[in-house]
Amino acid sequence: MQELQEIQLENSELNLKPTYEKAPKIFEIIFREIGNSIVGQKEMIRQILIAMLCEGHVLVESNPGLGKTLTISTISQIMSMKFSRIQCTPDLMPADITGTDIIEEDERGSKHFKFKQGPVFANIVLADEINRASPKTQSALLEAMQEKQVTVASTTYALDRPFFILATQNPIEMEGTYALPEAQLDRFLIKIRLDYPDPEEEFEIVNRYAEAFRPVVRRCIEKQTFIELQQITRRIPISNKLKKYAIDIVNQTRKMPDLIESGASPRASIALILCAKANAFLDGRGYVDKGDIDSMALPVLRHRVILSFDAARNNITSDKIILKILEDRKTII
Amino acid sequence: MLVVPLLEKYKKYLTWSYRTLGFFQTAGKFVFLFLLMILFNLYELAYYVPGVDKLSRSQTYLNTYWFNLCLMATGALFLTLLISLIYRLFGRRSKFNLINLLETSFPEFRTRLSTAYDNSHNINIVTKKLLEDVHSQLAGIKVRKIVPKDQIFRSFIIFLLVSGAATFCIYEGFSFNVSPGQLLDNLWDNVHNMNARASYEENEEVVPDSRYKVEAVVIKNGEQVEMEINPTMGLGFTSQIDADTEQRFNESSASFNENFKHSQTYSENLPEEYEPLIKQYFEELSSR
Repeated sequence: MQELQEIQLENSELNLKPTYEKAPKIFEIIFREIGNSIVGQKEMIRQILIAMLCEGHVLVESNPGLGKTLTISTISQIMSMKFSRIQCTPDLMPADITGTDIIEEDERGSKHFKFKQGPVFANIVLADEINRASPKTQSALLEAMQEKQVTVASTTYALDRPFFILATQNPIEMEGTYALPEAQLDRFLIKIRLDYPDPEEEFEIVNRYAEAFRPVVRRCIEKQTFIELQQITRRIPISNKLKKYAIDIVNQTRKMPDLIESGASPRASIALILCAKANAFLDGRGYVDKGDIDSMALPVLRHRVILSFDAARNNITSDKIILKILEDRKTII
Repeated sequence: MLVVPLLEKYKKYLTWSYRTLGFFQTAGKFVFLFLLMILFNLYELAYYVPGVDKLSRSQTYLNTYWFNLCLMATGALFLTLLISLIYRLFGRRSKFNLINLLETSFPEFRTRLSTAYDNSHNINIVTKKLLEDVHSQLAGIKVRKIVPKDQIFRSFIIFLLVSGAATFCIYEGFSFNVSPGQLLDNLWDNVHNMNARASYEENEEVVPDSRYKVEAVVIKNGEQVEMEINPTMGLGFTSQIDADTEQRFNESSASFNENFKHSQTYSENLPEEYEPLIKQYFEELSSR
């Protein structure tokens, strides 16, 4: 055990030590507090937290009324983060999202331009029904999502960290919508498909929200603590064998021309490994397991593969293809 | 540095045990091949190699028996090396991977050990804890548990048994009464007979007999010769005589078919070279 003392950590690493040691407890509190407010939807909550830990963004495909806004606003309350909501419509302009320069008159009566921040200047942004916004407005979100900054009138403004966008789209109403371009889809770390709660869960929802007193959410962690959790997530180690396994899964999506018109990009490999790390971290594990990769393959890849016409005609979904790929690669490890 | 020095230490230890196993397996293969060569007198094959015969006669160090044994040992060694080479080149045998072996043998190391090893140079708050945990666990394992003792023992026993059998054969001079020379002679005879039969069948057209389901009509020089025995002659009875046939034996001579030729007459009319063939035909017929 004498050798154990040889490992010396840098100061930046030592600063993370308290948060790393408390992490399992922090996650337990987060899940418990969210559970006080949200009934069921555990998988969605977990995947949103995974995306937040990876500094990624989430696209949720669900029908209205399934608690997306409540979930995301609850998370922002628990983490004492600034939350804003954008209701996307066809006439929504980029400036409505990013903000714009307005003329302001001071006490002396002189006028000057002042930048008025848009709703994107928050830690957690809910872009509701993103596919209803025009492509021009959708692309305004691109820079914010990728670079975590916005540029208005040649001036670049950095967004506050952590920055997280949860965009929703309705799967049934396609009229008057603008489908998100592939380039923008790829910028979402994961895509979550939400289904209706089961009758027991719905009973509990009715009980909880049809009463006079609504559940109260407590603030559990500081913003800085969450930023440190994000830093630790990237430090979770993964073996070379598992890295190759993740890359192999992504590669397979490029080798199925009959079913997939366009496979996942290398960004998908990065996303898959990052999400697997976050999944392991949430489970309190200090290393990535094969199960982490398998469980994150669907949300990471489902929006990154573009199905061929034949596949779509035969009702083959991207989920089915990804599950088949996982089934075929089962024995690799 | 954690984990890596321990792994290297275990690797050294296990490499020796796997080398021992490999030695016994290869030695077992060699002795088995040597035994086969002794039993089937395969030294004769060596004499097909130019110069071996001359060497055998010119050398004075060993008598012929021991010289032949040396030839077979050389052959067995060559074959063993060839098999090992082919197995290594085309076989699916993966290289000795200690991490895989440890992860399989000790499930508590599953994924953790390979992750710790791959990230042993990437020290941070998370990997430090992982390396420390894995290191302390690794230090506590009994690596003797994963030594392939059973396989080594089995290979050793096989080696001993086959060596014993080979030694017995060498000192008792035991071998089967089969040799490649004999086999080649037999093979040559068979090929020769087959050729002769093929050339005969090219000239002869055979018509099957409807009664005994055997070839019974031979066409010789365009003339059809019925090779059937007249039942009343009391010759050529077969084991297939049934009630109908038996009844025909009691019929009067009026039922005698004049188209049938007596085998005796028929054999007299045939050239001498066909006698063995006709004899063979009737022998086959009577044995049915």
